[in-house]
Amino acid sequence: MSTNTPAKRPIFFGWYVVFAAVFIGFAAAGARNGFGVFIDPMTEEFGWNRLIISTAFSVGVLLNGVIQPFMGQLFDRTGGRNLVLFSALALGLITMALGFTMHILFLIFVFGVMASLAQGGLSLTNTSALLSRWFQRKRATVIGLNSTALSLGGLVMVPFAYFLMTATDSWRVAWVGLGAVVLITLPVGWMFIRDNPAQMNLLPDGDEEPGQQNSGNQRERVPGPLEVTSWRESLRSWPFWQMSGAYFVCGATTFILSVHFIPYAMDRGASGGQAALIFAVMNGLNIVGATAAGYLSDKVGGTKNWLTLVYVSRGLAYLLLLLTPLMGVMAIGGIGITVNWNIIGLWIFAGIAGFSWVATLPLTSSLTAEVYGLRALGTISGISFLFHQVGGFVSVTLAGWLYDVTGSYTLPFAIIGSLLALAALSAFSIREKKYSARYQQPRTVWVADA
Amino acid sequence: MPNLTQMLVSLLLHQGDAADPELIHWLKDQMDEIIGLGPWVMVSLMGAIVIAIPVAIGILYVYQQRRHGSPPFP
Repeated sequence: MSTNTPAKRPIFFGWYVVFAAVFIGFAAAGARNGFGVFIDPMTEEFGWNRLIISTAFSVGVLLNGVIQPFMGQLFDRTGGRNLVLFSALALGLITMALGFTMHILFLIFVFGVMASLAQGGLSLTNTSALLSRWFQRKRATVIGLNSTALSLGGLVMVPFAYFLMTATDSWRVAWVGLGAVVLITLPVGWMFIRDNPAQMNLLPDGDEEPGQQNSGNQRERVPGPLEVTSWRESLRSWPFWQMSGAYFVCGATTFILSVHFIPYAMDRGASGGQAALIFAVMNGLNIVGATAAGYLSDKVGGTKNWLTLVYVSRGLAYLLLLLTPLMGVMAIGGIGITVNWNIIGLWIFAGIAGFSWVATLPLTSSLTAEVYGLRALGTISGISFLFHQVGGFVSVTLAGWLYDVTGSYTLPFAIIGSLLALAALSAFSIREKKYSARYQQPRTVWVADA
Repeated sequence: MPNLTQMLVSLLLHQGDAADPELIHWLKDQMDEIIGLGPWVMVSLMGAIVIAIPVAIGILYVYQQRRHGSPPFP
């Protein structure tokens, strides 16, 4: 038996970076999404009303979007590791400090301002920009994995905070517990977060030679024609506006669901538990959708086509959501079964929209990296993210206002949902083959000849 | 400026519901019903998982580096 089998290569360090990014994002998302757990006990103890406590959250939503371009710039200038580690330390301590809340102004300042600043450093746009340096061929896949941190954080950390609060009968201890989990990410980040593969004497994707491909030849990577050294240059080109415009619609169509879906579902006859279950399923499907979108984009290519498909499918989901109530409740002849299309429509919507919810992130982030390169990626992604957040803020406010005026969510959902046609068009019109580094003709040198 | 105030109030109200307490209550009830464990057990289980995963990854990394004769952090 031959003993000359080649030694098995260790796992590429980039995968540890992916794990660390997901773990940090998971804890950070939990610290933010856990806010809902604290609404009831804090309002009860301090006698605040819903509006007062909402202020802290809304200040955070706005600030989180506004600071992202600046955090992105800081990321580009510092390399990433120091920003991520400092932000994790700050977020952990700040979240713990919320356990000492004694006044609404304290909550607004600490949660709305301080925690949002710290979270800006740990944002998915920053960690995705970091992962873009570690991976080229699997870039969208790893950004897709990174995006799942958002949903995982909500699914695990929120119940964790709730159980901790129930066990200790103290919301203060629960805040401290959440902060402690964020601090646990520090050693993980310290071990595995590195600015780029060169720091570890490695190459992107774990290649042994620059531009190595599976086929055995070496291909020199050719930058795209729009690759920038400064974020300002990106603003003068079409793909930035096409992606950011579509991202605005993405924010508008997802934020409206986060805030208004449960009350809307209850308006359509779902019980509170049923509405919450549909919403939870939609959240769970995010994980599958984001991972699959990234993987397919890397494997099949045509990132903008996948992005278009995501917007089209989300648009279809909105259309079905609005049309299914017209079918009302139907009895299936003679067998005593009634089909309530109001509820079935919600499930269909959850199924389709769930897959598409976070799927835009890996596709948009990887396409941005392919078109504009890595030097100003944090800032460019941060500006795009600002569009996303503004879209979300506008849609949530518009939906709330229209609901107050018309007494129904139909009109706001129809208006916001129809924007998805524009987003799909905007994504489809990106000239990816012309601008993406992935489609530039590389110079090929055959290894055997070299 | 009652209109502006009204608008701001409405704006804040509509932005503040993202972390929906109803969903959280429901999730907790379902977990109680399905798993049927006390809150301390749940906290311990979830906390152990949150700590065990990064520890396991860290051990795997150090083990691999040693196996290949490389220092853990060049």
